Amino acid sequence: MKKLFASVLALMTAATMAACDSGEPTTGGDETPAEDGYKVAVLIPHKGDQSYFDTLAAACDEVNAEDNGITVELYECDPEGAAEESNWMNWFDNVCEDGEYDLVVSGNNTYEGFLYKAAEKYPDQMFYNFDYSALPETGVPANLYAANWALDDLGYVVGALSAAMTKTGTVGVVVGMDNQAMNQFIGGYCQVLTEKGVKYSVAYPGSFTDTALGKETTETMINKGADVIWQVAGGLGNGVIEACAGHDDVWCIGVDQDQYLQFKDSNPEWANTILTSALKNTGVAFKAVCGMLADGTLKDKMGTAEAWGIAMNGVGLAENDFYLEHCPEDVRAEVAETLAKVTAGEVEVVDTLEMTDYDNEWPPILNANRVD
Amino acid sequence: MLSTIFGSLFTMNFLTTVIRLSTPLFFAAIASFIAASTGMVNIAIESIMTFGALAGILGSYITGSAWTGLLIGLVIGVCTALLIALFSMRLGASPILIGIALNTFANSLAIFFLYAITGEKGSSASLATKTLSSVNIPVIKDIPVIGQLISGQYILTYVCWVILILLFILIYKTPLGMRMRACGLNAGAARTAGINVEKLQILSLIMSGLFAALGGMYLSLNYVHIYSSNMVAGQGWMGIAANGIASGNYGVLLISALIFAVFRAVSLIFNSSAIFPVDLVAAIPYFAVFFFVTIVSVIKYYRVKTGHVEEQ
Repeated sequence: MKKLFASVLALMTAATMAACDSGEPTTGGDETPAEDGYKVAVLIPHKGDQSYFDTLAAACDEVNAEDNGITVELYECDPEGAAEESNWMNWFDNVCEDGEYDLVVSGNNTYEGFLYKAAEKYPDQMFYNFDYSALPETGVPANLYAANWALDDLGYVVGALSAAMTKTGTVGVVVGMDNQAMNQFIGGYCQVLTEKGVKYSVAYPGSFTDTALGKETTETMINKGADVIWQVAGGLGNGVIEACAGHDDVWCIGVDQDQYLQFKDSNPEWANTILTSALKNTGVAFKAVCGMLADGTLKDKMGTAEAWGIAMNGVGLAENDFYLEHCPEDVRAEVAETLAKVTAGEVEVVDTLEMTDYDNEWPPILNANRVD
Repeated sequence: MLSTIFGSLFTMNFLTTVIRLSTPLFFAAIASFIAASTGMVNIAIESIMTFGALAGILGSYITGSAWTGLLIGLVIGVCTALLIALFSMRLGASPILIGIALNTFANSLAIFFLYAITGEKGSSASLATKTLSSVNIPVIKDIPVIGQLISGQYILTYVCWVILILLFILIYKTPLGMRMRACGLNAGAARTAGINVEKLQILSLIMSGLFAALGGMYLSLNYVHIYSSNMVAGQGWMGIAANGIASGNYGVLLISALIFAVFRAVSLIFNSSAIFPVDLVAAIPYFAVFFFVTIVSVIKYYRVKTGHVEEQ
């Protein structure tokens, strides 16, 4: 009995340690810094959000695979997403103290506060915020470059596409949480649909993981007549795709990465319902920043914040073969026109992050042409 | 605006939604109930559901058959339950602590295995997995109304219904069930009467593990066709709450689980309407749990006070 107990205990300890192992660098892993190469540390809470942390992690692998003298080390600092200050500052101390890295990357609205603190603490270290929603009140630190995504424009384009594709005159979007940052996705969406007189349904299941709820939410939406449904809900979005796949005449629009490609081989039934995806190209920007680091132009960007829009390929629609095959040519032409208009700044797109009085400004736009 | 919402509460779609949402809650509720019937405490339902959900999908991927996947998931569920039995009954640890340990452990361990096998941490999306489907029942499906409700559900929903009936028979109509309940009411007396209390408690934990694993696999293998991190999302706890409300009454248990499913479905209808703040709406099912637990406690308190039942 004792022996069994001991072995069970040992097994569990081993498993726990293995599960905690994520603190180690998962890419790169070269202990000795290259003499004339560049080293980049990327600090994210964890992989597996099925959203832009994963996109960024994939970009890290790609940069490492290219032989251009840049080594990226990815650290998963906060697997539980606890956002505890001491933990994060400890991680920043670890990577900044020795000046071992040329660039330290972190971001996201939950964690960027720690990044700003670190930037203040280590003025000689270069930092890159891969997705900012708020900047420090004192302005962008002189040793930091911040990027964010023209999600308002992205939502506008998705709305225009949905309006052109719907046969029932009703479309829908499933948003994980109801907050100012998430609503940046759908401000332009609601705006363009209202302009075009298309009804839309907006659901907030209040979770990014509860796939069952995602599926049922979508079924409810489909019952209300929605036939083009956009998901902006991380893992819960799997439920949205699953529900859409069960209806022949319903299209789903993916988010962040090209979800058609993601499911094409493993789950064709799902892939064949994903008309296109609203891309948030965190990876493209990260690779560009790495490029700037290598050719020395990144220094000029320090102290600035920039929105990566359609023109910079920061956001856009996935134009894969499936999209080209199943989206009629006139719709594609219309979408291209919208893209051009938005890029040229001809449309004033609603941006929730720029609202000064969000609580009063947002609801009228959200509910303008919404289905109950 | 309100009328359209209340209109949508009494439709066929709403009822089928309730049926789909109720299945995992029923599984979780009976998993908690059967353990409690012999006096065992299993608060690890949530983690067993997670293990079951993942093991089912991975098993199905590795063996290429959804049914062997299901079997593997069940084995994992039973093993976890036996782990609880080992630590609480043999090694004298508190079953509550073991439950907490397992629940803390579950999601991370699931991610570890997911990562080891798929290289991804979010979901099993990259695996081509065989899954279970829904079933149309030949004759019944042509009956109006009832046909729509009863036919076309997922396989594990039917399994759930069959288990609900069998469990009732087992607990209330067989000598074995009587003995199990005797262990729960007074283990000392049961032992004196010659009942092997330990054996029955292990049996009830095994059944608990089976039911919880089925609940998890309903979510992954049958309903969403993928394992997605943290997909159980508190449904195991709702089952435990249902058991808390029922305190040994099987009918109340099933009604509680059903009520939670109804409120989950109601919250779905409200979360896409402009009437109430969505944060409030998302809290509806949990508020319902809180509300019913309170009511039952108040009723119990007064019954004890007025001498209708003795305090246990």
